[in-house]
Formats: sequence, C-alpha cells, structure tokens
Amino acid sequence: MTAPLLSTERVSVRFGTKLAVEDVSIALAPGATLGLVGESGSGKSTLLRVLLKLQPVSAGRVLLDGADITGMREPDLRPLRQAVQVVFQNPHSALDPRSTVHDSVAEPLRILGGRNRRALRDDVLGLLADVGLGAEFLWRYPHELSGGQKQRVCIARALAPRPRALLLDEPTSALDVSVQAQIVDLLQTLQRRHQLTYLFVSHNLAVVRLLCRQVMVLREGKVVEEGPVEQVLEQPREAYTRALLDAVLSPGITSLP
Amino acid sequence: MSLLEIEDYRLAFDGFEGRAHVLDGISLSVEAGEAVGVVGETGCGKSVLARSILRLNPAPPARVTGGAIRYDGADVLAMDKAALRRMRGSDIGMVFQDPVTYLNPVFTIGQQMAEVLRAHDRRLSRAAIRARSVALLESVRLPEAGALLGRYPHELSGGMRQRVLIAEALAGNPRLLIADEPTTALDVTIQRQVLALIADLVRRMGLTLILISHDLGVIGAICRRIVVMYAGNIVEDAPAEALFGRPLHPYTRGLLAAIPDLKRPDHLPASIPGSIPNLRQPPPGCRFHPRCPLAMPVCAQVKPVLAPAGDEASHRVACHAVATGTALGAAVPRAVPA
Repeated sequence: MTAPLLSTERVSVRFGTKLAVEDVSIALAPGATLGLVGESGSGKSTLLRVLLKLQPVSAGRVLLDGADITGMREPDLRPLRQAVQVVFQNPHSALDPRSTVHDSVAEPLRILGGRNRRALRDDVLGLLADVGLGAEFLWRYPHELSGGQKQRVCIARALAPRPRALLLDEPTSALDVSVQAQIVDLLQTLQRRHQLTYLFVSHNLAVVRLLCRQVMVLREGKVVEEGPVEQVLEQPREAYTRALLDAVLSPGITSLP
Repeated sequence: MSLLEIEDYRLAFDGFEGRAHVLDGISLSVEAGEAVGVVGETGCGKSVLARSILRLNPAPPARVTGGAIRYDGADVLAMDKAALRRMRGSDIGMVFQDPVTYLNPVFTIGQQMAEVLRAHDRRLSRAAIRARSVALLESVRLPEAGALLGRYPHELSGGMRQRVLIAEALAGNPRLLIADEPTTALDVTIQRQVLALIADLVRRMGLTLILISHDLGVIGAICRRIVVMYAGNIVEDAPAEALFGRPLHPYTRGLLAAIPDLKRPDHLPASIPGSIPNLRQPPPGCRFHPRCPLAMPVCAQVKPVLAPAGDEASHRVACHAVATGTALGAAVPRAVPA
C-alpha cells in the first residue's frame, strides 16, 4: 500500500479539561475518498483543523507524505498549504462579499506569485471552467450568485494552487437537494480529472454512501468504527453506528415509535 | 368550516431593487386535527407563508397584495393588535428552526416560561406559574423539570432547548401548532426524538399541525398530507401516500429524484437543471416552466391552477401537462433508476 498523503497518528486535542479528539489515527490514501461521519461535538471539525495544521495537538503526530509535520511552523508548512485545500460548509460566509469571483479565485494564485494580470485572469477562467462556470461570472459579486454557484466558486478557489487533496467540510449541507446532486457530481468529476484525494466530512449518511469508499465514524472525539462504506453503513458492528443509521429518515412515510 | 382557510393569498416584499412577489396566490384549507407538511426549497415562500398565518412578516417591507386568511372563521388580515395578541400563542403556537436564537441567554428557563404564561394570563400566582411550567416541561418529556427552571439556555443541549420552545408554544393551549423547520438545527438522533415528541403531542392533545420543512423525510415521518411549494406557489397538494407513491407535478418528481436515499444506494440523485427564478421578475405562466422537462407553449402564458388529478379527490396539482394528460401518459416512476 502506498503511503498516505496526509495522516495522523494517535492524535489528541485537549480544550481545558475536555478531550475534543482522543487518540485518533486517520489516513488519507492518495486518490481515495474517506468519509468522516459524526454528530455535533464528535470532534470532526477539530480533526479537520488538525489535518490542516490550524489546530495544535496535545499528543500524537501529523504526517504529510509520511514526513512528520507536527511541530512545523508556518513558512515551512508551504508544501502542506499547496497540497491540501479546504472547502467549507457555508459558501455564503466563505466568500468575501466585497470581492468579485475573479478576486476570490485569484487570491491563492497571487500568493503563489509568478503571474502577470493577464495570466492570472486566464488561470481564473480555466478554474471556473473546471467547476462549470462561464466567463460571465468573472466580475460578479457573491450576492449575485446562487448557493450552488457560490460553492462552485469556493471549489475553484480551493483548486487554484493545484492541490492533491481537498478536505470537504459538509460541502453540500447548506445547499438545496436539487443543487446538492450537482455538487456531488462535480466533486466526482473533479476527482477523476485531477486524481484528487478527498476527506468528506458530513452528517448526511446518504451522501457519504454515494461519494466515499471508506468511512470513519466519530463520537465524542473517539473513533467508533471504520471500514469500507458498504460494510459500515450496511452491517455496522457498533451500536452507535446502528443508532445513527436508524435515525436517518428516508424520503417517504416513516412511522415513529 | 375549516380551522384555517387561506384563499388566493398574495404577499410581496418591497426592496430597493423592486417588489418581490413572494407568495403568488396561495390557497390552502386545513381541517382541525390534520397534520399538514409544507415542503419546498430555499425561496419557495414556505416560511413566509407560515409567518403570514400569524401576521409575523414585518410590514413594511411585506405587503399583502390580495386574498384572505381566516382562522376559525375570523379574518386574520383585519385583526387589530389586541385580537392578534389573543390569537398568537393561545389559538396558534409556533416553533422556529434555531432554538438558540429564540431563547434569551441571560434569563433562566423558569423566567422565560413565566413570561410566556403571564402573557396568556396576568393573574397567575407564582405557585401556579411554577406548577404549570413544570407540567409543560414534563409534557415535552424533559427530565427533572423542576431543576430545569433554574438553568440557563447555555446549560441545555440543542434538543432540550427545542423542547423548551415547544413547551412555550403549548403554554396557551393552542389548537394549531406551526413548526417551521423545528429539527433542522439538530443532530439526526435528536431530530428523531423531537419529531416523535411532536407526533405524540399532535395525537395526545388533538393538535392541528402545520410542519414546514425542506426535508421530505422529516415531513413523511409526521404528516399525512403534503403540500409542495415552488417559487411562491403551491404546485401539488396530496395525501402522503400519493405524493411519495405517485407524485404528479414535474417539480415534485424532480425533488424526489434529487434526494439521495440510504435505503437505495444504487439510486443516483439527479439534480433539477437551472435555478430558482428571481421573484422580482418571475417567469410568466407557470413559474417552474423554464426548468420543466414537460413544458409546453401554454405553460409560459397561463398560470396553472390547482386542480384535482390522480386517483384521489384530495390530490391536487397545478400543471398544464398533468391537466391535459401529457404527463399522465408518460408517467415516470418516482425516481429514475440508475
């Protein structure tokens, strides 16, 4: 097996007296999609921040391509910043309302440097095309976009530094279902096109089932269960996973006890 | 006479960029004891409709441009402040989406319950308020209700807070409960508990329920009748079995086909092409026609009215294609198989 692109080894994060993440080892295999599932307070967002090196750990290690980056500080983290990008849940708050689509997507490219204005614009256009947005969106402001279009812009911005992995934090939860399918579809297309590695954080098990091969279930900072998605979501070993699955309301008539 | 009658109700919001026609002729009758679900996506007007029943939309910018709302025969749109106050809470209770924003962080649960109870009956003694508060909290199955009265909202979980708000909504013994996305902010396991509680209250207290949600799973767990809204219109109104088993409106079908279903992992959700219309310049005719796979020339000219369709008399659809039988002949299954 190839070395994981990004991983943690037995990390814990302590907030005061509370362990938000406890002894969690997670590994993103290159090109694969790992689903991370849990309710509020399960530690999934904290773990995401650990993987992004935005959250110091109390114990354990964080590794990029097998190299320990646990103690690394910002300028040395450039390889991580370029290799791993993030897409957040709420596209309405993830974009600066005063920046045009062009400026939002161009910002990471500006930081990387080496492009004149025209090359920058061409690259932004290429990224927008990649997420299914035409040139007419270039100078629009976020308030002129629908939720789905905003999330496409966020994905384009995340793709700008040519990352190898995307950490997707509930990327469809704030969207209407009729749009959700479009974004799931787009994420799958992009993964094939750019051989991307995904960590897909979600509480929506049906979407996780669609998008992921492997899934990890978190509860109160600890790993409850992990494995292939068919096994965990169809024959869960743990009572908690079963309870989560039982709580899902499929579209249709359900009789509640 | 129906408990609630909404007749060709129209509401617009005035803004800098013009007038948005948010509700475009809503007709809906709810009988006492019914549990009706209103489903739709962002901007369809479902929350505005829910607030309209209690006249909670701030006016201006809201402006009623036509129609009528009657509760128990009384004209809601003509009510004065005193009549509105009597109706809110004592005839109709309301529960909102985000329990965090509807509780005041600096008062205890007991103080907030007391405020609601006094609003309904100013002469209540302190002992009576306490007893009634405890009874209400127990009715929403909160454990140790007495101790809970001294706690602050931040000491409660999201599910507990929503139960407190449901208890407050029930304080005036309403006959109609309007719940607007009551479980959207909650985790799935808690969501199920709160929905079971609402279903139980409806049964036990004989409440009439209007449940607003974007989630057909949530609605299908409680409501026997489902109303589908799109861009300010009711497009379909049907018994739950018919809506899930044989949806007729192309938008309802599209919505059902877009939902990923854990029970059917092979079903690939299909999105509805296009996006919701700008309500300042809504499309003429049927507001769904620019996105509709069955659109005909008439759809861009004449607004379709809700008319009986399908096997049951209570199944009504606003669609030209359904009315002319174009859609019935080509009845697509409720979700396109992968």
